[in-house]
Amino acid sequence: MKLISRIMLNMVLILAVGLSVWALVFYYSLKSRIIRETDSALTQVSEQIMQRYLSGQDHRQKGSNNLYTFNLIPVPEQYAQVHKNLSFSEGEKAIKGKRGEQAVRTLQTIFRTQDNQYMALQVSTPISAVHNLRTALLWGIAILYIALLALVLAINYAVIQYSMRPLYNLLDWMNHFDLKSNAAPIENKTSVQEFRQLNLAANQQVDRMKDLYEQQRQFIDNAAHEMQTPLAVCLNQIERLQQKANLTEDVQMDLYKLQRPLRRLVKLHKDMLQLTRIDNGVYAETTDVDLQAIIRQSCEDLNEIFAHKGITYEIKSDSPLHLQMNDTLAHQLAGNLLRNAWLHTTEGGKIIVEWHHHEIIFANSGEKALDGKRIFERFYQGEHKENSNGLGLAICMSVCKQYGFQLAYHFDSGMHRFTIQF
Amino acid sequence: MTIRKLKRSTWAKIIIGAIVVLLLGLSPLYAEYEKPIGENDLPVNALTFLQEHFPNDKVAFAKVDNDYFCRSYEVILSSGAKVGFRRNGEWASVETKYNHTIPPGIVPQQINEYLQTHFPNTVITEISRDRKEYEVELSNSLELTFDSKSFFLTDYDD
Repeated sequence: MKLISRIMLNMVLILAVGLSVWALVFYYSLKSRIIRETDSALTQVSEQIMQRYLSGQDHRQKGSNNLYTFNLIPVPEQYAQVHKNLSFSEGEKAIKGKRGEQAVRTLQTIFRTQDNQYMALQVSTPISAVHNLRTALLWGIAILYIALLALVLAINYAVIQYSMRPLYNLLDWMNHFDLKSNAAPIENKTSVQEFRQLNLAANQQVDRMKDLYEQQRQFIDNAAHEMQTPLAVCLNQIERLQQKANLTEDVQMDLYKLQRPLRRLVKLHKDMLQLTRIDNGVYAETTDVDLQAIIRQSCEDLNEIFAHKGITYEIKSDSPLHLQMNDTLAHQLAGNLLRNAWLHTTEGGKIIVEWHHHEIIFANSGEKALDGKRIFERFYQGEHKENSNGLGLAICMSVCKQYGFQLAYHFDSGMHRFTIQF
Repeated sequence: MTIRKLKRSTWAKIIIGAIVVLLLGLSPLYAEYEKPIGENDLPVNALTFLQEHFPNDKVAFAKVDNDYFCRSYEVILSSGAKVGFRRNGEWASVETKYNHTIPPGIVPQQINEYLQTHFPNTVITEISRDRKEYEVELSNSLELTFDSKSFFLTDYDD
């Protein structure tokens, strides 16, 4: 989940709960206050009526004005004992001067006269205005709640988005970073300390990576060059020894055993040199390359060399295949992949080369999938160690990187498939 | 304990607890302020006062008022007079709006004299007192306030 989504979600939950609590509290406390006003007015009026009646000034047992209606009912003592409390109740009553029944709130008070007669005094007042007020209050609070919640969330969203921009810039830069092609340091302008730290760390890492890469390149370059002469000398010496006439079979065999690893070393050295040359951009020149011709030629040659393996090959496509690239590199690319195919297919297996649109596929039969992530790494050799020095595919990858081709591997229904997308 | 280490269940409990406390804290709002009481629930000196100054009247209606923990009592007598008492049973107000005679012995002598001098044709309809002053309402709707040592303070017309 994105950071901002998580923040907003948590915020919504917490705010919704918190605001709900406030809204409930507010509503109920206001509601009870409003009723209390009415009740206290009812109480006052009740006491006045009681006093007037008791003092003899007003003998009426019923009466009403615009606001209040009252009723005085004599009640037996038991009733008085049971209904001691002031009781407020709400109900419907007919009010003089108004049609039909109205919602009223009634207060009943029980008091005792001089002659020990208990009287129940009921005072009523219309309450629909209060009810309307209460409903309006409820709506008001609900709308305020929603509006407030929405407003707070919107503001928070905007503020967070704005504040996090440097972070998103950094993530964007990281996604597009590539040591060879897109290695510009990040330029995120921000005054926030933490983002500045991130920027600094990112740039430091970039510098470190560049240094390391440069060191590695230099090393291979130097090593390759240094190795050249002694190797040549060694091989020369062996050849001269081999041409001496009076050699025993033993010695000949020993010399041969000496020659083979040296030859391997020479090949390794050649490949390393090739790699550094490609990386250094020696093969920058491009021409229009007929890849189809190269592939066909290589297949024919390899098929002859590896005839003893009895491998069948098939070139499935016939359309022209022209690319703008360096001729030598094109030969290397196709050559390495095809030679790998012939080398690593078991006897009696098959090889298929096909291409269409923007894709070439080199497929050869095999038993077990290779480690797709690591085969293009330099010096990775997998299971076949004798014939490979681990640089063949690395060279292919370097060539592809130079032209922005995508080189990929996957294993599918018994076939290793190397695809180049351009 | 950092906030991060509190588990979600603990947070839920805290929130629920807060809500409960809030609701409980508001319960005084729901409590009944005024309650009718029987004669016998009045403080003793209140009853004594009534016996002394209103011997012929019965208690028609009595209630207790728990306003903000300042307790007070109110009694309506069968003559229509209303008497208010403080928590300790001392009288705080006497009102005789409808019969117009406050029994003798309640109003301080100085106030009586003053009134006889300045407002001879009026009668007291209500008298109330607190620690500092006495307030008197007359039958002509005038309200007078006297300092507890009988000093004339304000005079306003209602």
